[in-house]
Amino acid sequence: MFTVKFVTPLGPVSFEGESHDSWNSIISEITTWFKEGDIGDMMVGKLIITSGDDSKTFSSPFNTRDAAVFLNLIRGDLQGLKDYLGSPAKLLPLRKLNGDAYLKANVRIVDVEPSQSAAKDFFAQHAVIQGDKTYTVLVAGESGSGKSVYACQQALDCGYVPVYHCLAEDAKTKKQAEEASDNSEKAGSPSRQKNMELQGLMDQKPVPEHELLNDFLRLFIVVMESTQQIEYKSKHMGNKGLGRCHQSDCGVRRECARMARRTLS
Amino acid sequence: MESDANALEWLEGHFHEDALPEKVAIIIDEATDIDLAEGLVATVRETTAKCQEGSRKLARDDALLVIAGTGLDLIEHKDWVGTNPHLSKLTVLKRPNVNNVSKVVPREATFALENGTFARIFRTNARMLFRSLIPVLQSPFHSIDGYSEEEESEREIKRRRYETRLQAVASTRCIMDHAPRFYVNQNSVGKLTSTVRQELLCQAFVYHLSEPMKKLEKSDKSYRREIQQNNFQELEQLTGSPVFNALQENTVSGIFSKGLANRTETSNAWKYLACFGLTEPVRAQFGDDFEKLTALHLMRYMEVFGFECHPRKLKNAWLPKWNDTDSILDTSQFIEEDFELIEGCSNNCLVFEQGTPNAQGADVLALLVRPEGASLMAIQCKHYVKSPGPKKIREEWWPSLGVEFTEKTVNLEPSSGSAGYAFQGLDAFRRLLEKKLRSSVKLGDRMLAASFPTPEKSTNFPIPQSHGIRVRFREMFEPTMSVLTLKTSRR
Repeated sequence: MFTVKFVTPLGPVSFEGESHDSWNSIISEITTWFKEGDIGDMMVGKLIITSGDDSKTFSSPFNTRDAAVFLNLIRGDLQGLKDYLGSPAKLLPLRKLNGDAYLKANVRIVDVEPSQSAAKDFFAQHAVIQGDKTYTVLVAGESGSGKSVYACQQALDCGYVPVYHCLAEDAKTKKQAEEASDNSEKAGSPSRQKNMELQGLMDQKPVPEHELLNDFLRLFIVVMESTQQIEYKSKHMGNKGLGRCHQSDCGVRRECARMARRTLS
Repeated sequence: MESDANALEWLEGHFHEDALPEKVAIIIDEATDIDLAEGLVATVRETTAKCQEGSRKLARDDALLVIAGTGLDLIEHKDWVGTNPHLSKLTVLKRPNVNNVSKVVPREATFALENGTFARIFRTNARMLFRSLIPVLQSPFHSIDGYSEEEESEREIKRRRYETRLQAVASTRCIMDHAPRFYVNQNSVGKLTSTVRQELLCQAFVYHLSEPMKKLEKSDKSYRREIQQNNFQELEQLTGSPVFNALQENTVSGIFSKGLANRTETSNAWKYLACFGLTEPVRAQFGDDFEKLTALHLMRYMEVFGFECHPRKLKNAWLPKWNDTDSILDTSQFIEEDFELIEGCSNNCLVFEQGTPNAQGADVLALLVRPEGASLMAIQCKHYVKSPGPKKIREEWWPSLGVEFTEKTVNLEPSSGSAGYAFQGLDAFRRLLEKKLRSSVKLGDRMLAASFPTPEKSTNFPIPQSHGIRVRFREMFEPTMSVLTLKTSRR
């Protein structure tokens, strides 16, 4: 049994189904409701998805447009949804780095500067310092030196919940969007823009859908708050004239739209 | 993490005050844009203050910003940014420590990691080590052995055999090649197109080659004038290449931000990639090892100048051994040399390698075909731990390249003696190439390749002051030379 329940200003709205097919039909039904129900970009207070005994509630406010994108992503990957509902911890970045088990087990395998203990103190002592003395921990090293795993694992070891966001995908999708936009301006034709976008998408390596879904869910649910913080910082940086910043227009919705476009195409 | 109910609640989207985790680390990965990272560092106190108050509160006690990316060490580099040093704490990940690895893998695999020719290179990169080397070495198929192990002594024999086998696996290029091949499909490097990746690796090669040469120029040590001039010309040639210019223009967003090179210390794994795998282990007293390395380095070097390089091996030593009593050159063995030339006439480089390092003439010959004409370069390789003194260099080394060089005169086209014989041989090879190419081939540079460092002023290393006469010392074989440990012994 699948259930999708929206808590809206108009009251709760529920959709139910029994099987995989009905799951897809639920989403179609919801999409139709969004389109034809004349509800516009109505804010949704809560979205509750239930699959069997597993139930997840998304309580951060979002609007129906975001919800439509989200649900259409889930439509293509029921197993991904079940995995997610079963264990959200699977979405943590460390789960994606399966092969680095040795480093995960013991980050001390890799030599660091200034020293292992000093580097750990950067994480461990941050919580005890005064607010006006806070600092950023920078993790540098050559490509493949284990920076991502080290940062996440060290954070976990020191009692932090890691909220992970990788900028590489942002830069890539932004570049594609810019190229498509430039070409469109040159050609002056929306259809040409679409062709260029499609060409760009075709040139990419195919990404497994469940990875996209996981990425999307992680972005949508977990990193949303932190990304908003990045947006804030970026604007702040712009005001200070601290240099260019390719993140300045990185909003959650834009990110959702990009991910959705990539998946749905 | 999974036992932290609050954290899971929060992870699931419940951003309620009572479900907030105690501490949150916001990890921004692949922050290779230095401007962005600098901005994040500069505003960290305002940001974390925002994260800990009001409706956007992320954690009950502490929100920590962590930024990970290659080249972030530049932030603390004085020349690059003026960020307040109190706003950031820098951790630089170096290389995996094999002593620590031995705690999690069997000792036979650790032995192979320490002693395998190629495993020694790739173990310097964490991803190559964890994702490729260890899984490959730990494959259960390597330990299959028909012998019984009832007796303790048999078990030990079996174990040693397994250890030896793993070392052989770790020294076999085509097996260990899995590590760089696997690697280049990962991460930010994996997202590059093959053309861009090759361009960047070419830039990394030039960076590693130019740095030791620049250090020679800036060194406090003093060198003789002819050596200074020789080294200056070598550096000038390199810095005039388009790849070097591209490297200079791309200092922030190029090889350093992609992690293909470090300004302080680059791992051998990445040097191997910069060489594109064109390197060889050079053993002490094995002249043919150094000869092979010279040929490979030349191929990579010429790629920097836009040449498409192809290796060729001569069937016979060229030229035949010189006999003092009979200096007539026998060219009959040329008939057997049936190497293929490359079609087309634009920027091809054929590198001919001799199988016998004690051949009379040049050890490595290179045919450079450009649109404006073809030329033949000759290189004599000398694998020594230090300069043998001016007498040997004048009387043996230069003559083997067809250069007659006394204290007073230089003759680049000698007709008699050892130098004359070598020149005849070189010229005969040039004519053979002309015949095959059906086009004019000129005699080009003649070069001594020495595996020892540039000799200081106290050592007399005579170099003829003529156009096209060059010497390359050890520094000019970087990074090809230092990827695999060079062991030399005194002769």
